[in-house]
Parts: sequence; C-alpha cells; structure tokens
Amino acid sequence: MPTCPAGHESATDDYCDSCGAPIGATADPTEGAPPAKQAAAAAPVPCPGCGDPVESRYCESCGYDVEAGTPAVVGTVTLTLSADRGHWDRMVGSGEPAYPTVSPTLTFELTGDVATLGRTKPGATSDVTLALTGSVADAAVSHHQCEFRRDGAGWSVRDLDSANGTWINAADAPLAAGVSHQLVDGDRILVGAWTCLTVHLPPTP
Amino acid sequence: MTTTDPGTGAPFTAETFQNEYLVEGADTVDAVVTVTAAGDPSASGTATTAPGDRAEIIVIDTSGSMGAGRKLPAAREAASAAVDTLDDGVRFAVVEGAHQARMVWPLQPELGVASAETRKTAQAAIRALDADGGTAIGTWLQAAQRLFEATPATARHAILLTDGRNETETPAELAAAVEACRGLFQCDCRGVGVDWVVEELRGIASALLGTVDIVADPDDLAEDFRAMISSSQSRSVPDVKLRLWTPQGAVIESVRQVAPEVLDLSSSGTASGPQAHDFLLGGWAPGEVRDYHLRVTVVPGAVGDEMLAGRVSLVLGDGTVATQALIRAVWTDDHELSTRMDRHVAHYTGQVELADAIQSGLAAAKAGDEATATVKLGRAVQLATASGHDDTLRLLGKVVDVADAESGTVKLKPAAGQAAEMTLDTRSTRTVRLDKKKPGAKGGGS
Repeated sequence: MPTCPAGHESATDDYCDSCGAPIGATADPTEGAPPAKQAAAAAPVPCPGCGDPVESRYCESCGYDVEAGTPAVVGTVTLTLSADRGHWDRMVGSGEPAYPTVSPTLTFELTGDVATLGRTKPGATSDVTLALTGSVADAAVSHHQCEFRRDGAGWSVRDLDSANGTWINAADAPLAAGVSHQLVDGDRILVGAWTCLTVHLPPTP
Repeated sequence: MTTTDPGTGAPFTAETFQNEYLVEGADTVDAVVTVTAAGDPSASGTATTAPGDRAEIIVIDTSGSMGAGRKLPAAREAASAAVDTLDDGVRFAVVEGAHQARMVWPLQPELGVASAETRKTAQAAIRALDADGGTAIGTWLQAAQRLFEATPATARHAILLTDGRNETETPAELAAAVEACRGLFQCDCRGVGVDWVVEELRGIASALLGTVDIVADPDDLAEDFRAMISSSQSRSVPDVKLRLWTPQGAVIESVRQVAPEVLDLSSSGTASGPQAHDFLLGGWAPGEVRDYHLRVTVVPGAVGDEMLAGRVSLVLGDGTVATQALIRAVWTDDHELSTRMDRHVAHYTGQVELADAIQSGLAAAKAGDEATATVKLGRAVQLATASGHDDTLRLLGKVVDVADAESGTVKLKPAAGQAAEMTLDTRSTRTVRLDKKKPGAKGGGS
C-alpha cells in the first residue's frame, strides 16, 4: 500500500486518502500554469541525517527527506552508461559520429532533487550534474541533454530541448517537449548517437 | 440497469475548473465541477432503463379552489396528456389530493402497468375528477411514498400539481413528509394560478431533486405535463450520487448544483465512508450536463505544499464509480497566482447571487420595503446583464423599469402583477452556463 510523506498508508496512489498529500508519481503541481515559487528561499539548515546544509526538501548529500523527516530510501538510483548499437543504427547508421570501438562503462547516482545530464568539454566549467566527458562524450549529446527530477518517491526524466532528443526504451519517437517519463527499474534512456543509460532502482522495502 | 456510452465506455465524465493557488494561510478551496452524461441527447427516446423499471405517479390537486375558472378542466387535460405520454410497460398511478389523498387509477393502492387499455381507463377516471376539500400536500406525498415503496421499479418520478398553499396540515407535517420521500423518488412541482406559495413548492422540488415552475395560464398545463413525463422517461441512468472525499481536518462548506439551475445540496449529504459524503443527484438523461460548485475549507499547508482538497466521484446505483475529478490546493507566495479567480467559479458565484437578489428583492417588495426591493432587484438586473441571462432579464423587465442596466439603476413598476412576480421568483434559480467562446462578461458588462 502506498505511503504518503506524512506516513499515512493510502488506498489511493495519487494523493493520500487521509491527508491529501501527493504520493509518488503525481502530476507536477505547476503543470499547465506558471511555476509556483517553491520554498527555496529558506536559509540552509543542517541535515538531520548527515549534518550537511540543506536548502530544499531533500539533502543533496545523503538524500534525507527533510520535510517528511525520513532518511533517504535505502539504496540509490543509479544509471549505468553503455553504447547501444540499435540506437546508433537508427540515429547514424554509418559514418560520423562513429560507434565507439571500446565499450564505455560509467555509473551515475541520482541524488538531491534535480540532476541534469550533458556533454562537457574537458577542463571547461559546466553546470550539469551528470557530465559526459572524455571517452563517454558522445558528440551527438547536447550540453544540456535531459533533466532528472525527484518525483515524490521516484524519479522522472524530461528532455531539455536537446538536438537529437531523449528516447525511452523502444519508443519510436523521442520524448515530446515538456513530457516527463517516470523511471522504472530497467528503463533504457537513449541519447546522442549511441549513449544508453540503464536505470537501476533500489528494491522497494 | 445502466449502460455505458459505446463510444468512450464511460457513462460520465467530470471536469474541474478552479484556481488551485492559495495565498499562505488561506484555507478555502472553490471549484466548479462539470459533469456530463455520455450519449447523444437527441437519442434520448431510446431509454436504456427498461419501462418496467420505471414508475410514474401523477398527483393532481382537487381541492375546492381548483373548481374556479379553467383550473380543473385544464388539470384533467394535463393529467390525461401525461398518461398519454407514458411508454408501454411503465408502472404508473394517478392520485388526487385534497385534505387527504385518494387513488384515481388504479382504484386499489398500487401501481398499474401502462398499455393502450390501461391508459384509456385511467383517462376515463381522470375525466370524472371533481373539486372539493382542503389542501394537505404532505398527505399526497405520503400516498406517493407508499406506492413507490411497494414497486420494484428503480427509476421513480412524480408530478405534483397544486393551486394553493398547504393549509389543512402544519408546515412541520409537510416537512416530515418531504424528508420521508427524499431519495425515494424525484418530484417535479407545478403551481397553477397565483394562490400557491413559491417557497413551499421550491422546498419540495429541491429536496426531491425536481423542477418547480408556475403555469400561469391553465391552458399551457397539458404541454408542460407531456414534457415532464418525456424528460423523466429520457433519464436512462437512475440514482446517481456525487461522492466527495475531503482530507483530514477539512470541512465541506457547500455543495451546490449551479446549472441548469441552483439547487443547494449541502444539507443532503450523508456520510458514506472515511472522510467521504454522498449527495443524491437523481437520474440523468444521455448527454445531460450539470455544473456543481463545491467549497471546502482545509488545514492550510506551507508555501510550496500541494494537497488534494477534494476527490469528486460519480457513483452509480450499483455502487460503481463512473468517473472522478480532483480538486487541488497549492500554496504559493506569488500573489499574481493566488489572486486570480477562476472564470467558472466567478460566473456561478454571480448566478447564485442573482437568484438571491431576486428572491430577497421580491420578499422586500411584498413586505412593503420599497428601498430594499429597488436595490436588490437593481443588483439582479446588473448581474443578469453582465452574465447575459436574457430570460431572467426579460422577467425582471416585467417587475421593474430599467433606467441603466449596467449600473443596476431601476424603478419598481407600480402594478407589476402577481403572476409576473411569481414567475420571476419561481424561475430565479435558473442559471446560464458560462459562454466558452467569449472571454469576458457578455452584454456590455465589465
């Protein structure tokens, strides 16, 4: 049974059937309207979990949910990077950018509230949290490719108006502008010419 | 039994109109929920409730006063026309009411079944009706209640016609009779002539989810009765309920039907589960659209918080949930967001105020308070003009002389006539829907 941020067990999975708080994969409350200003202006407080300063709902360091007063979900969401031949065949087929000769491997962890993925030049300063550089810098990935956002208990991904789109699993079109995809375990996020990010969600307690 | 629309599969759709943004500390959430029944309204003749599952009772006032003028002959014709309109197989009865109720057809207190033959014998019995005695509407309702309680039919509807005020019983007796009928059947009420009391019939009709109207000219009765039976027979989905779930600490301030007419359902809610209340909506015809204005107060959240302030479910007779609409609250420190008023909520707030202004204006006029009557009816002209409510504006024009509609400057007509005032009063609860094509108020309003 889903549990709301206040800890109520709820028979409904969109909003808590006791207190009405949003549960998990709810629609973005700001959808279809100008964004409501979040309570971000509050001064940083020490995280009850690790002591690091926290400016928003979740601790950037350990994922502690300050508002609900609960530690981060056991285990973290990870993305493993690999090259996907099928995506390259669809996007490029032959020529440049070439399919990598050595299969790259890299693992990202999703922490905090928001994480952006993008390609960065070596040595250059970048504002993205998940930087693709060096051997994993697929030339067809945009500098601001896509954004991962904590969505209640889970995460969702949306495209940041990238040049070549963000594709989910076997979809035959990239994510449309403004559309978020709720991540489930085993999802494959395809970007650039060959980059594939496989989603690993922690086992639900 | 109910059916679903083959096109969409859902017998109902519901849509919420609201500004969910609240300023810090605000606790009142307003929303208009539009409920639409599936199906083509023009195909309403193909009712999906079987005729045998439908029951109709026609209650005709035969008190002494009905003997005056054309009233009784017109009532006989109207009852006869209503019987004529019944589909074969519908269970029905005709009851006459005076200081007590009496069966006209069938003679024994039970419902008969409509057929060419029974319609003819019922009409013969109706022709023999005579006027004599007092008016005790509560006893008429009790008679209808007993008949409906004994029938297996689930779609139950009555027509009640009277020409006078409830006299031979106390208001408390009438109120108790109305309460006993609530939820058992729907009842359309008609007043003929000008000697009946609008408030009395409106109370019965709104408790029993029916319409109320004045038939000033007895000769218009037959057409009206025919229309009421047709519209009842087109209601193919009986016994629909609106279920409103609210979060912990919330209070349901009001639940009002606001279109096609104002019907305050607030006091009729019954608890139906944890934090849930049910409001009876009666039967629905295919394609029918009704708007509801709901107001809930909740425990305010912090800036940035989101809360579900209400979950509206349409519940069918067999307990299945046909559709849902969500009412949300999001607290923000952005005043531009929180101060916007939703157009639908604003429109219907104005329509409810319009009905109140007419009723209190007419009551003041009756009590001889011309100053209050002029202000109230002036406000009504202003509201009706701004919302483009042409029907109400026309009825107001028979009671007041309008100097300037936009500012609501009016003068009471010296001899408006009781029929004009009663017509305006009776129809004051009818609303117009928001014109979706026009962004602002219609008719030169600001």
